[in-house]
Amino acid sequence: MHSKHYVWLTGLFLALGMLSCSRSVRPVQGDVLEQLDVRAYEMRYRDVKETERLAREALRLSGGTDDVAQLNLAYVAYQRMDFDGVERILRKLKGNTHNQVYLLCADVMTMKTVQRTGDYTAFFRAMYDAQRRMKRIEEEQEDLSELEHVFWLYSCSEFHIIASTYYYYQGQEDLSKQHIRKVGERYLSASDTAQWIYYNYMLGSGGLVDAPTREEVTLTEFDHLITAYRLSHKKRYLYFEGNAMQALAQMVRQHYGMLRTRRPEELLLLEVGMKAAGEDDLSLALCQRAIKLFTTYDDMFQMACCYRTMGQLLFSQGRYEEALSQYARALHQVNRHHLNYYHCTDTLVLYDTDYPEVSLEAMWLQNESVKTVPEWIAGIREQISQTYSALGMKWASDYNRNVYLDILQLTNQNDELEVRRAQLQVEQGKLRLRTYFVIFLFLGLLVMLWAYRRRVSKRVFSLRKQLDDLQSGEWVPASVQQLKEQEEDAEEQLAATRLQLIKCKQQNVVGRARVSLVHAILPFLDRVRGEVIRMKREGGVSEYRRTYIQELVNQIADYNDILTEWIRMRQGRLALNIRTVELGSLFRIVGEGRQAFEQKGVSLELHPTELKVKADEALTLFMINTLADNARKFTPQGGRVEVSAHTVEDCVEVSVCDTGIGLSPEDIDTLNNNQVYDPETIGNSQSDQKGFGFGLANCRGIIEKYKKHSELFRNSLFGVRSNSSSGCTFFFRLPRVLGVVVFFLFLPVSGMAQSARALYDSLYHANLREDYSLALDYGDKALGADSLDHRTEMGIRNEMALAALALNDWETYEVHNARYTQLQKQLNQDATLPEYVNRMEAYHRNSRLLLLFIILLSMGALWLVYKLFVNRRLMIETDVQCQLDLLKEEQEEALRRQIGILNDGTKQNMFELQRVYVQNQVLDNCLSTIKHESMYYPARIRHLAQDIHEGGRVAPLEETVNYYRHIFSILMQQADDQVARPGFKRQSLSSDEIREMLVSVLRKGGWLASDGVMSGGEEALVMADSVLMEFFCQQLVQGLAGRHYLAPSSCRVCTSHSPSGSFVLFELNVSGTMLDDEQISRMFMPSVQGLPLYVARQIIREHDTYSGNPGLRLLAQSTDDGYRVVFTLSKK
Amino acid sequence: MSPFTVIIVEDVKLELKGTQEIFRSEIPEATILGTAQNESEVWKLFRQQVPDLLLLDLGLGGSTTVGVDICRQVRQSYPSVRVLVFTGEVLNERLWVEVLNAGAAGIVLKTGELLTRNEVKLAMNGRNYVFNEPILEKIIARYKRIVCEETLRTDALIHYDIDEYDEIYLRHLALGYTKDMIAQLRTMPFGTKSLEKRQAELIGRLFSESERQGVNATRLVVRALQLHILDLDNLHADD
Repeated sequence: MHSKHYVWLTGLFLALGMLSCSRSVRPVQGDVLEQLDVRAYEMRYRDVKETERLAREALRLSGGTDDVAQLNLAYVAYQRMDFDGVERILRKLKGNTHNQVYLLCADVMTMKTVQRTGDYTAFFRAMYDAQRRMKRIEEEQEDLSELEHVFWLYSCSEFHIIASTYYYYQGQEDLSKQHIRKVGERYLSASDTAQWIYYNYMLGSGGLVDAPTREEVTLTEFDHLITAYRLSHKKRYLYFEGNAMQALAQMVRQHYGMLRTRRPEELLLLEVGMKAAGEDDLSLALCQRAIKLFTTYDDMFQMACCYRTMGQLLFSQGRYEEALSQYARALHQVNRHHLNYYHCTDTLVLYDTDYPEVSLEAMWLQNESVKTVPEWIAGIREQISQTYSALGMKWASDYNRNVYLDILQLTNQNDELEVRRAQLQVEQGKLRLRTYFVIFLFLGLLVMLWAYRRRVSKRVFSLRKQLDDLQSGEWVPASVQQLKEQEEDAEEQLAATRLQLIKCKQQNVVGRARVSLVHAILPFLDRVRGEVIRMKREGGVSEYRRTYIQELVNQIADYNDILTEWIRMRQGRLALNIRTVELGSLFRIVGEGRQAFEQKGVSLELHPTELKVKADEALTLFMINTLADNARKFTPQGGRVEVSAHTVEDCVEVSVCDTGIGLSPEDIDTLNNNQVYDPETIGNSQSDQKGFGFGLANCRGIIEKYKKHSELFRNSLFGVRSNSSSGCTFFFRLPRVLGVVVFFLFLPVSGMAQSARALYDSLYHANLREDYSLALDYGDKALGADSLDHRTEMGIRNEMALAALALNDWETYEVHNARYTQLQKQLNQDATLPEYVNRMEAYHRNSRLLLLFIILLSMGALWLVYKLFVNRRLMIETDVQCQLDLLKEEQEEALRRQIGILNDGTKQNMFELQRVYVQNQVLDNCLSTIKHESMYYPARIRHLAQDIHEGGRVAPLEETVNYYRHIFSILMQQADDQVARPGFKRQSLSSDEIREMLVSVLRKGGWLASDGVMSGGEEALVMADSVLMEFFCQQLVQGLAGRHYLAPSSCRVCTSHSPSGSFVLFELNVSGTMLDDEQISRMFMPSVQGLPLYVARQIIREHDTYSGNPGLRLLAQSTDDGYRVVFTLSKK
Repeated sequence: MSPFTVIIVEDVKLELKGTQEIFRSEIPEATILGTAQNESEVWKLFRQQVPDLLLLDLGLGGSTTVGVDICRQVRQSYPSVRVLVFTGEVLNERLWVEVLNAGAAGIVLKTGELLTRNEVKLAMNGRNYVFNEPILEKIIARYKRIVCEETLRTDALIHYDIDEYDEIYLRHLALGYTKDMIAQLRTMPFGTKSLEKRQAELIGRLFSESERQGVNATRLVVRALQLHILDLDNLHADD
């Protein structure tokens, strides 16, 4: 991508370049100009004013078109630190010329300038431009003119030197060395002495030389410096001479001893030349000379640097005051620079007693129009800070250090650029990736399409096979499998609920059998009453009557006992389903019956609640519904019924409040206290409904049952009270369930004490306390701690530098400060290396266009291939797939439907289950109440009858009997009320099915004879309830077996019917057991052990009533070898 | 009362004792030919001698319908025999109606004074509809209710200002006729538009202000039924 594009562009440029080269603006006075230019160039490092003069002359001569002159002038401006001026000149140059070499020089000059000012963006942009140009020019080196060649070499060497310097200051020594090596390798010739000297000076100034030992390094550097010095002295390149001397001064100061041993001649020469001896004197002398040179050369920057060096040297000799004055001079140079070009009237001072919020330097740095040289000032400030510290003037030292730190931080704040760079980098990366991707994709797709074609054919084949499998049932897809499993689950559920329902129904029919026993009691009661009436009429008690009454009462008592026994037997089977019930959801269900209320014009208000109780859910719902219905019946149009719940101590009271007719105090008393009452008597007779019904009595019964069930319900009750306004409130209380209160313990997220950070804090505080040695200890520990990140280390280093400064421990200070600076630079550097910014932008633009082009092309190609080869096959595949999907869906749909049906069945069962369950519970309550109330009376009646015989009055007996009958009939009515809704399901069953039911029960118990199934007659359809009939068979056999009327293998079953008849007859023949008349006639009569047979009788009775064809029988008859039980069912 | 013969059908011994005692002490004219506990015994006794009176208990052998069958068969085969039902089924009104339809001369409930000489006498004298007081009470209550409903009906017609055309309209709505169909009736000389007007007026009369929202024909008819304007048992079309 890259190469393709740029090869083309390069070619273009080269062509232009060549053209421009040949058209290089050289008027007739070409040679004169050249001479001027060369001279001006050569004077650069000697006398800048001369350079300026010559350049201006050249410019004038050339009519303002001489590139080299402009370059020279640019250099002049640079040397004078007129950075704006440099920019101006170079811009003009770039606009006017096409000469690549001079443009390269311009780039390099830009690099130099912006490096000084610290504008690294521009630096890298210029660097990048320069590199590009260098590459281009390299290819055409041979075609350059002599002058151009000179500048070409100059530019290249300068480029690398600048780059090397940059990387050195960034702490990237490897890159720095790389660049400087390039200088040595390629671009130097002895002709360009200046650059040669510069090269040597660079090598000598440190950090660029590799040698086996430190000593070697120093010595090599020293040699380079000497070379640079000698040459520059000879050539009178003041600039380099001064620099060399400055560097030598520092080196002498540091390594005097070694130099004396290893390079004694050179040292001696220096000493002689400087007329000084000893490290102190020599270094100072060298430096002073350098200052003088620079002053002549008039380079503010270098002068300031020299003063700084002087200051350093003096500092190292302990002459602090003198050092300060040198620093002051350095600052003076800085001020001069700013005054000259930026008209800054603010000046830097050694320290500002005012201690401004924002230092002047910071302000300069942040002012874009002021091109400060940050490093320059930073270095000075740092030294000043050290010096003040040595003088013990902490405050001044702090001031300077802060300025120093500010500068370090501010120099490289380029947030905006950081973002842009990151953005561009990401985009570029993406774009590049995309482009490669597209290309590979295109190729890949091509290959794939071909392979695809083949695959599609294969797929079609396999799909056809799949279709066949699906049709034949060999393959069952996952979704269908899942649905099949769901179907199984639904079936299981249905079966489970069905089983539960069957159990409930069985319990229900047993309950109904008990109720019919109650019914059987009533006639005897009536008989007693009849006798009493006759007694009253006769005015006396005949023996017959007394005996008869006794017998009747005994019979009643017997039946009561039987009933009691039957009720007791069921204990444990009709257990209550106690669990936590959410009243809110029950209220909602009650709310679904809103219609009935609205039709009557009564508003139903349900107060939502979060309260929960412990109770049986079905029964609680039943109670609320009952009370609400009652309230509705007794509230006139326009009234209101409110259902709500609130807490009362440890219970929840659910109350149904109406604005209806209300009840009299007597009625309320009756409802609250009497166990038995006639509902017809309760309530205002103005209502057009049939009295209260037994709902309330049932509710009370349920509460009583709870209380009997467990201590938990000791505070539960049922009651009614009148409202203050109108109507009354019915309520019941059930034990409350407290919501679970969850306490969240918020564990404070204690951050792991970062040891480094903690130590840093201690260090910081120690410094504040001016306990500097302790601070240093903390610092050392902190540096050794784990979890030390760069930021923390920077903080630590700074603090330690401060502490060392305060203790005047210069070595420690150097170490920590250097590290701090390095970290700072790294930090800044990471954020501010916008190397690719400009490059990326252009690159980006072009790449996108190219990408678009490629995409369009590939798309076209692919479409063609697809159309030609793949399309048709795909269509076939789609077709087959469609068929497959359709078939699968059909199967799924069928299954889903089935599941729906099963679920409906389950729901239906659940609904019925709940209803029957409630019915059973209430019925149970009724029977228990009957048992309770009836217990007492028979004995009493008997007693009273006895009394009469002995001359007592009839009246008390009459009263008691009447009363007993009265409550008895009420209770019976209540029980009947529950049984009123028949659970009878009319189903068509075949007579064979019924026979099978009986046969299988007999077989299970071993009662069936080997030829037990006697088929007599064809199959016929009967109308029966299958659940009840199954139960019937169980109960019949259980009852007979319980009385020992069965013997193993003694039973035979047969069915018969006449075609015209409306009944089917079933016979159970039992052989081997003879029964007498008494047993036969009493078989289905109530007796203590006789509940199962009585239930069987009840079932037949229900079939008689509800199957729509009365006349069904259940009876027993004696036979020759035993007996038989016969029952009939109606034919459909 | 002239002497007569009676067969008693009763399967509970204790009851039978009481019944027999009643005959013995209060109805000396009666001669008890025999007692039967089930059907077969009844026919056995009948084959021996046909009685004048059959005192029939309904709940034999646990089934309520045996008695009804016996009654029907006796009345068919031996029309001269008077059948008096003596039963403890004090609540099963349907059974009473069935046994009356089967030809019983009357029903005596085994409650209150139970069987008295009076009832037997009436039955023997050929009177139909012999009832003892308890059952009579129930019958009368039912009768009263129906009559009341009738009255209610008349009252409602007046109170809600229902004229004959309103009644015809409502009745036919209840039977599922559309307005167009009703307009076609011979007895309704109105067009569809006037019928709509009539319906709106009816709604206004039968519903209170707050209830009138969203009342359709079904709702109207149901309200008419509730108010006894229409008689559910008497819904028939005019044509």
